[in-house]
Amino acid sequence: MSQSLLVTRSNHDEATNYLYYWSAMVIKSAKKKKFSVYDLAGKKANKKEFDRCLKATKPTILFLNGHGNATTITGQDLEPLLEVGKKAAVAGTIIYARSCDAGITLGKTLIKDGVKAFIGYNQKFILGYTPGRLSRPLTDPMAKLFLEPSNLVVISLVKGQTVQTAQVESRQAMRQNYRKMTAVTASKLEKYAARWLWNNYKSQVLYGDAKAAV
Amino acid sequence: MPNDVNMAIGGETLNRVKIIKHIEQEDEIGQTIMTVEWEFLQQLASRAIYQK
Repeated sequence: MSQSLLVTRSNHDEATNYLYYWSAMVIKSAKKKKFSVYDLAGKKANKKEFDRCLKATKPTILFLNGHGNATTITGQDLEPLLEVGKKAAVAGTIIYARSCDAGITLGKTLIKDGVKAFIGYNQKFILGYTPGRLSRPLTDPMAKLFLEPSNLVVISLVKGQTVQTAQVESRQAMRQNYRKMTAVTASKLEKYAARWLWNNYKSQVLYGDAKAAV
Repeated sequence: MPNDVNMAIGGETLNRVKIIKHIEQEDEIGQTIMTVEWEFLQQLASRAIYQK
């Protein structure tokens, strides 16, 4: 059976625009590994399209990028895509939610609803970025320190690693970046932003079957 | 905090001035930023990141 990846990536503000561009790197990796990729980008990241796509494609991996809270993950213009108490055809998938707080309640609920495994954040996901690079997010060295390690979750999964390994590899990459950012050779900006990366490092959580793989 | 780095947190994008405002107002974002700061300092003191 072919493997598939469903990505939601809204782009209605500065933060989501960064996630939008950096998610493209993950999509590229998945295509290289012969995954069928369903890309709900920008305005396509809406509830109707999301539900239709979930039912039609039954994705192996669901990669959500957008704002969130303890009970909800949103798409374009903050439209809720996944919510506690509202059914969605997510059973059997592995989910990575690059979104604030979804690990507090939603992640655990999704496991009860039949999701194989969930990786997300049980606190705010913080992104440091350079205001001067807003129009070219992929060239922003500050954002790279945050988004490359988080991309690694899905990149590891599409390479066939277990959820546990994906989690470990991503956190190790954050750790390495953190060390760079706190080294004597680091810039003033990096040293300051290290506290934000530390927040992501300690709040990235894994629920469900850690041995699951695609 | 340097001027040429912004943070995106909880649906908001913040520069230095906005961060200070949230902290002074002690709103949810301000409190989160203070918690992040406190936990970072605790981590530095314990050197947790350098331990396996």
